[in-house]
Amino acid sequence: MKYFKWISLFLIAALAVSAVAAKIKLVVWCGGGTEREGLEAAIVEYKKQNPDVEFELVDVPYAQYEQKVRLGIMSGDLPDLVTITYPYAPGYMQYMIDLRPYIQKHLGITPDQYLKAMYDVTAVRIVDTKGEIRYVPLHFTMQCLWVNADYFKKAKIPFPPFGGRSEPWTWEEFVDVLKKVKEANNLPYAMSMQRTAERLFCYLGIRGVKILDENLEFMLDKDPRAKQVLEEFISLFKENLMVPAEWIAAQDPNMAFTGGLTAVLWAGSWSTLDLLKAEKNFVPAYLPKDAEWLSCEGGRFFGAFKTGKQDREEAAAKFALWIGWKGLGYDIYLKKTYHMSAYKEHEVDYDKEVMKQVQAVCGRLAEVTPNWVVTVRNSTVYSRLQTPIVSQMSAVIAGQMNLDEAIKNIRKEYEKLVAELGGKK
Amino acid sequence: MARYIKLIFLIVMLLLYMLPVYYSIASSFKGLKEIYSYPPTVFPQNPSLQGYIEALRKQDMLTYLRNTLFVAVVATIITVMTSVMGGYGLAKGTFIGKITLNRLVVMTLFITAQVIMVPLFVIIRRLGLINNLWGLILPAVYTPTGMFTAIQYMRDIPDEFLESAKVDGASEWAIFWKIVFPLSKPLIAALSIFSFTWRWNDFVLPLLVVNKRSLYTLQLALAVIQGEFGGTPWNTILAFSTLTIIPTLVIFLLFQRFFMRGITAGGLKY
Amino acid sequence: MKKLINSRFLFAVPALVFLFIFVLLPVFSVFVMSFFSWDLLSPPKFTGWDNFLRLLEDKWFWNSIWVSIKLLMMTVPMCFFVPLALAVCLYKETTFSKILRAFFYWPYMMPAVAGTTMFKWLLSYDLGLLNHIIKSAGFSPVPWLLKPTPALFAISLLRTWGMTGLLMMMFITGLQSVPEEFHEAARVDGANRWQTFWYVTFPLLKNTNLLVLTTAIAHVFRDFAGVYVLTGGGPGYSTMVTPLYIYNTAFTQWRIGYAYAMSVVFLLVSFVIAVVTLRVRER
Repeated sequence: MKYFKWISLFLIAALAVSAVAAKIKLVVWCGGGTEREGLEAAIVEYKKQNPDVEFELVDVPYAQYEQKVRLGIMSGDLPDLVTITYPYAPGYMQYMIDLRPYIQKHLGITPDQYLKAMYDVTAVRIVDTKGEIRYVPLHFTMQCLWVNADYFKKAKIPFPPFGGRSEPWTWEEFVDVLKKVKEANNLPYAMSMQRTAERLFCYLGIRGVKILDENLEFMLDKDPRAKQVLEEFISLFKENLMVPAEWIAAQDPNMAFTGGLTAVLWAGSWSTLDLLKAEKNFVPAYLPKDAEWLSCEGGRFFGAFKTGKQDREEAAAKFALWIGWKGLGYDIYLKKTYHMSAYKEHEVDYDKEVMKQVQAVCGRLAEVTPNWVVTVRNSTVYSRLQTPIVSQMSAVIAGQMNLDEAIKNIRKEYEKLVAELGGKK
Repeated sequence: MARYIKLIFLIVMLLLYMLPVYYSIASSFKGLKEIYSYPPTVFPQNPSLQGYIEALRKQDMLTYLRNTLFVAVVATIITVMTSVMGGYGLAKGTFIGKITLNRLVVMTLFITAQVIMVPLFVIIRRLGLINNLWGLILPAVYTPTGMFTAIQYMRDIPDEFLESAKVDGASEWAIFWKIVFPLSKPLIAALSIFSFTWRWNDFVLPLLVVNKRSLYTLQLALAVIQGEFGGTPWNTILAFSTLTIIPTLVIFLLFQRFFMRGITAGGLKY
Repeated sequence: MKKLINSRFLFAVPALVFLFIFVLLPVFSVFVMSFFSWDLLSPPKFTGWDNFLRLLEDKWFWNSIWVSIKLLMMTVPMCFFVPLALAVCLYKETTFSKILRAFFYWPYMMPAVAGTTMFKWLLSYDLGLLNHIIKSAGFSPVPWLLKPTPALFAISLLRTWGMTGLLMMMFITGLQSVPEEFHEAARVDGANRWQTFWYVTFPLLKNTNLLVLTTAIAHVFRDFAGVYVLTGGGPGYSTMVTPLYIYNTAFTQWRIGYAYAMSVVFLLVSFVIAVVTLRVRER
């Protein structure tokens, strides 16, 4: 068996894998792709200043991120640092160290000053009920519109704020714009939107309807306007203004938008890098303004797990504050990933012009967004209600269910959750 | 006439089956811009190696390849041995609860890996196999489909064969090696190919066991590229997955050569 | 009288050890934990039969079982006869058939996400290649993933496409264990190919048939990776198969105990189906 030789060669090679570490080595769990690249770039700089620290970045598949974190917490095999997407962040706060003492020590400012430096909507996310600071913002995202400027030019329609119009559209105007731009360019649809509860929340919020109110009370069957506003959302699909496949079959909205089948993409600042790759004339624009003007923020946070090892926690907190504070590692990370800063009046000099527009549009939207948008979405009830909301709405759009039934189902799911969590959390 | 019908059938099926495969390989040679363009292109308009370059540049492919090969090869050897022996034992052995045990094997066919994921993780951890390539091998040695295939195959071996050898005074061990094992060549070929494919494409165990980049397997690396926020570099993913298929293809052709040839040429002597 | 146990059984011991540690033990703890409420973070709470009672009222769960069974009935005939036909054409050891086998096995080798995504792209209503071709030929596009029945059929196609390689190889293994003389003898008797196959070879393949049938049923029933990527269970809940529903309950809703209760029931249903199939086929 001549193949036996290379089989055994591989055996030996694989057994020879070894790693010896003498200095402090911080293990960081992060998402793959650009997030990893951003962290790597920042770490290179950090190691120049702190040669005694080593890093091991472990990228975790995005779809299984939470599973991995939970299994880690359950078994106690935890990394020193972890990046966490915003909807999951509150659930894991209690396992993170309090960063307040380190803020004073490494940044030379009080925790209060630290919180004041960032957008209010971000500050809400990182502070727990006792006022302890458990995360630093890694990047910050905001929903906004992206428009295909060529289509808008052809239809001779101005768009806000970089397309010859300063004020946001009202909802009525917006629907009208969608119809016109579709017609003028002979498109099959007008707007793409990923199927998420977050987009729906944002749409409803703009129309003055809350899924959950400030007391986390379920409102869709209480608010008399809710049904009407949802009906209007569904009719956007029926009129082929929005793409049914996106909400029925979870089709990637970037495909229709970059493929030129739609003129508007309801997405956000995080889409910048993807849209840049399409090499088309895409410009960020304001979300419409109706009863309210608001947007939903999001992003990744960076936290240091309580590992019980003093020196490691110390080193982890130091690095977290270095990469999470403007002007330090933060800028390196943002420039690499084309994400927005979570800090107010923080100018990052990106090498792409479009990022300035993104910052202007999303920064403005962040300013006008009221706090309840964050506090409600920061609750466990809402974060667990997202899946049922999406499936039920998708069933309605597919014509499998009527709206009343769907709302009733979501209400049932809500009550189950409240019972399970032992209150509205 | 029958030959032509057969040929036409094969060609039609081949075209149908290869369409998605072709499309994915063709797309791996497209730029990201072209992948996202409409109408879809059947042939890459501006063939580019961008996906492949990205896949190889960002990833430590060689390490992952080495890990995956180690796991797949070792696991396949152990799986094939235990399955052939186990299939023989369960099909031809005598013991109390034989039917129950065989039914149990059928039941294991229906277990979804993700369902037993959490307790499996606890067991693997107790055994100290976290961050250890053996943690990707040992839990996967018993494969329901492999075991069931082996049992069904062994059932087809006539009992008279074994009995006559026994009358001749051969030991159980000798019967297995001298009679059953050689008769099992097609089974071994099939099991090797299956087991290799399963381990090669396994994603659940690496996800549970591996917390170190130096121990990543190809499938774990592939899952990681899919990245965050819908920003999915499809050309890189398709390039990567095209690259991962090649070794399995080689194994497939190799094992067919090894094991399947001897059989039909010589024919089985019943 | 036969002995209660003979030494031949010992050959099965290594496999049974692995079976016990890495399959039965976890399954056992799934049974146990189905009586608890657990989210992996806080310690599990014993809730008795609560999970099972709740399950009785969960219409999406029973709907998902029905969807799984529909999918099974749609897929299994295809998953049986297509690989069989291919195996009959390709079981001889010629270079031609060896290469073709590799092609048909190819889909089974493809990483699930890549393979399924290709399907999704091909079938996309407005962006897909298939509908593009259909439209160019002057027909109206097919709403593959947008209507319940076509969506279920698309999953069925995906499954058959993916599994053909595995099942074909099982058939080939079986066909190769049938000695060539059987075919020769029958042919001398004046039987045509079809008759030879149907009356001589096919009955000899009883155990292979059982193998393929059971494997096909099990794979269609337990897998969800394809559905997860292709339709995510939609439109509505029309392709929400039970394993996907269980997965979502466990790993997006974090109701581990409840998901386990569903797994227990689902395993029982699977087992009934398996036993019935075996009984019917063994006769």
